Amino acid sequence: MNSRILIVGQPTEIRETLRNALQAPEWELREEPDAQAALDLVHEYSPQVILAAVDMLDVTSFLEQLRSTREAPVVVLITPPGSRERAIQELRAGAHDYILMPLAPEELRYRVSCAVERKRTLDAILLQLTQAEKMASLGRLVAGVAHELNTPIAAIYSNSDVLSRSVRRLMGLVSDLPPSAEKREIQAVLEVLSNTSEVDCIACERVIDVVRNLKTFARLDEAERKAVDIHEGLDSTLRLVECQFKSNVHVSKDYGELPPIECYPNQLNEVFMNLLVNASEAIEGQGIIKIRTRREGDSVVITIADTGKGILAADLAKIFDPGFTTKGPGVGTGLGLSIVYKIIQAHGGTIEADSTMGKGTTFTITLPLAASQRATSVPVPEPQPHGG
Amino acid sequence: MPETGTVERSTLGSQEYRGLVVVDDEEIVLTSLRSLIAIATDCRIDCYTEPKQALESIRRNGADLVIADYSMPEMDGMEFLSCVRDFDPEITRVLLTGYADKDSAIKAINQVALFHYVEKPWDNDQLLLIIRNGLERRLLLKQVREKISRLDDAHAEVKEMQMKLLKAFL
Ligand SMILES: Nc1ncnc2c1ncn2[C@@H]1O[C@H](COP(=O)(O)OP(=O)(O)O)[C@@H](O)[C@H]1O
Ligand SMILES: [Mg+2]
Repeated sequence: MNSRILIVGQPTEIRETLRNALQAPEWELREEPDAQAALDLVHEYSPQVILAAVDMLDVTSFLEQLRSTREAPVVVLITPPGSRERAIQELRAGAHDYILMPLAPEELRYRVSCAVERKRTLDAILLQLTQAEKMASLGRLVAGVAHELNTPIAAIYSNSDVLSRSVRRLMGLVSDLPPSAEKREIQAVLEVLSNTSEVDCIACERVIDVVRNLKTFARLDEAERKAVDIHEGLDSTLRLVECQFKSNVHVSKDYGELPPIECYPNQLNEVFMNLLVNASEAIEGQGIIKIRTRREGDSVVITIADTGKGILAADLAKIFDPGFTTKGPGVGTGLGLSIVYKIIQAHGGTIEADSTMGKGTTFTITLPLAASQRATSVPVPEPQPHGG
Repeated sequence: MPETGTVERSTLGSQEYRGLVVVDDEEIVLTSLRSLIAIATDCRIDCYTEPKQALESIRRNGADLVIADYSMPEMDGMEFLSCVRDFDPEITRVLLTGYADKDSAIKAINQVALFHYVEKPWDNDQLLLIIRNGLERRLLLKQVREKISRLDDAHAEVKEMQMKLLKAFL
């Protein structure tokens, strides 16, 4: 990916020096002599880095205005000899770095690539923060919806069962009557009622399944945090889901030596379950699911890889979004991976997906060995409607 | 086809009043449970949306098994069930909740000596089984209590006879 760099400053010779020093395929350059025009250009061009010659009237206000843009590029000041003091002041005002003239091309390139790197890091952090924030507010919304749906669906579910029982009772009573046209008609009506209530029951079970997922998503249930053997969790989850697997799915395990991990075991099991079910669903013909665990320094790395159909590159960025599914209505809820994401995040870990169309998909989970600050504070559920 | 989960009055001592009391602030839950109990059991059932009224009724008429919703505006299910327990610990107590939350389940079981914990949406067969077992527990407790008191009586009688015998010989 190219880095976009914007050069701002009046003196043509400075711009030219910069342009010449930064001739490289990975850098895309634009120039703008005027500071005000440069600010407008930022929106259109969204540069990662701005190189600003400090001949501008008011660098401080330029920096300030830049900071309030959505793109918030990283600024490196090009400073005339002898103005180190001033440059340092501008650093306080929000510039990332300064380069004293005369420019040494090697140094310039190095400093610019540092600035680009910094911008990348900042963007990544910002993305994570917004994602976390989105997840948190979504959690509250979902908890509310799940709570509102729970009682009505409970009533309907029970009622459809009561209806079935009542119809069965009536059928029993009617069957004792002597044969007649009325009897046949009553029996036909009861048959209709019986079929209807049966369908209602099945339909309810589907809604209940979704509501249960929503509840888990919103709350992450609060069983205790303890140090456990991850392999036990993997094995028990595997046993649970294996019976759903088609016979064409083969599971291979490659477990490393792991110390006990501080975690919410049932939550991690939920993670394994979602990943394993997804993996098996991705396998169409014959396929393998590989589970691998390793200790790597202060972390544990768990990979679940399948030889399934893979994920489109364009979809890869969306799979952790709540509601994203390619499985079609009534099949996928698109909640599985968003729950997985939340749980891993709450444990202070990371999860990444890597996929090749037609070859398969690998999910890599990294969990810190030591209880992280986050993990101890996050899963405490905020006071929420309970029961009802 | 045999109906699973049917609560037969005969198994519960037919001479007795077998009453369920259900409290939930949502009328639709009460209506559903009322219909279920009517079609699948021969228990009596009284339903209340107000925990306070339910308590009054229990104090007046007694009850064998009480089902309470966890979250209710005026008095939550735990508080309600602990009042029921204070009144008569032999009444079987069941809590209904919206979430399968193991921590509060354990807390509830310890705090109010809960008999069972049912998550909404509940499964009718499962609920009926819980009700049957809960009523059986109630009946057993009662029988044990009666036996003990009869034993006590017998014991007292023996003592009295002993005294009389002693007196006769002294
Ligand atoms: N192992 C996998 N192989 C291929 N695609 C996957 C895999 N895991 C997840 N996906 C994709 O990510 C989407 C979201 O997954 P998930 O959140 O579990 O929801 P759901 O399974 O209900 O669709 C799936 O619909 C699928 O397109
Ligand atoms: Mg899934």
